[in-house]
Amino acid sequence: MADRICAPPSEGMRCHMLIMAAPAILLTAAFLAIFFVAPTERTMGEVQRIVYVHVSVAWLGLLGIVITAGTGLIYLIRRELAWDDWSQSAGELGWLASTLTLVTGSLWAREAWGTWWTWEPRLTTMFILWLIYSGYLIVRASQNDPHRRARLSAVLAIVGMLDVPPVVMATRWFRGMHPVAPQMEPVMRGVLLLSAVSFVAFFGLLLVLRRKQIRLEHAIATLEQAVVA
Amino acid sequence: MSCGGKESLLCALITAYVAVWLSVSLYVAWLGVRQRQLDARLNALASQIEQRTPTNTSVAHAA
Repeated sequence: MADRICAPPSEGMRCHMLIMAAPAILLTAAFLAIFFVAPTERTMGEVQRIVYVHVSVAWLGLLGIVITAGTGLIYLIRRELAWDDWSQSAGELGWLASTLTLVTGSLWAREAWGTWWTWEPRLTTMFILWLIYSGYLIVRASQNDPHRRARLSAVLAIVGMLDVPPVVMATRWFRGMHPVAPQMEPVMRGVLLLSAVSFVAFFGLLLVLRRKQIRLEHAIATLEQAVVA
Repeated sequence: MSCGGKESLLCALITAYVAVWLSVSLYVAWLGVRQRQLDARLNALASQIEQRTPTNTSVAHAA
């Protein structure tokens, strides 16, 4: 990604570093805004600040399965393993994001509802998404043949996409404890947006880096086979 | 600092952010470890190819 954006050769290094540093700088700005700019919520107090990171990683969890399924679908159509590399990278990061969603949500729920967990619609559908991600990674780990692995995991991810509408609409379709659209002051909304954008940028960077690494793994494996033969 | 009573709210907040920071840091660290393993495999491949080819042949890197 940076190779295509940055002009070679003398400006390349500085440009690369800027692209790498930008998400980290954004994330730092977001954390500072969360703790020093966003006002304290009247009802929940300071613990409400969990929401800024909880919502951000939740959106990443949903975005992750969309990317995983989308790139998986492109692989199924074109049968090019390069698309499966993107799928794997997005699947790993999506699993991380959905795990953090459940963890941060539980911490907030403990204070807001007095319980770590309840089988209400939003939480349940999000937990199902986490199971889908976990299944995706397990399927990938269990298959040695690259194309079979790509095929199976693509199908699983595409089926897993069916869980996205229930997660998004759970608070509207079903009655539950999870807030539908909490009332937020404009400053809070701004901080939430900054937080979400920062997390997306940072995870986007990790997505690209991990995908490059996966591609390198495949290239090395191919070379090793050629050297042994 | 205890996590009971009135301090539990602050505890929950700190725990949430520490969990996020720690998880992401561990993932990035894992990427770094993985990259070192790949670099080692690449170097080993380069050595094998160097040993097999004549001395005036240059070795091309995979990546």
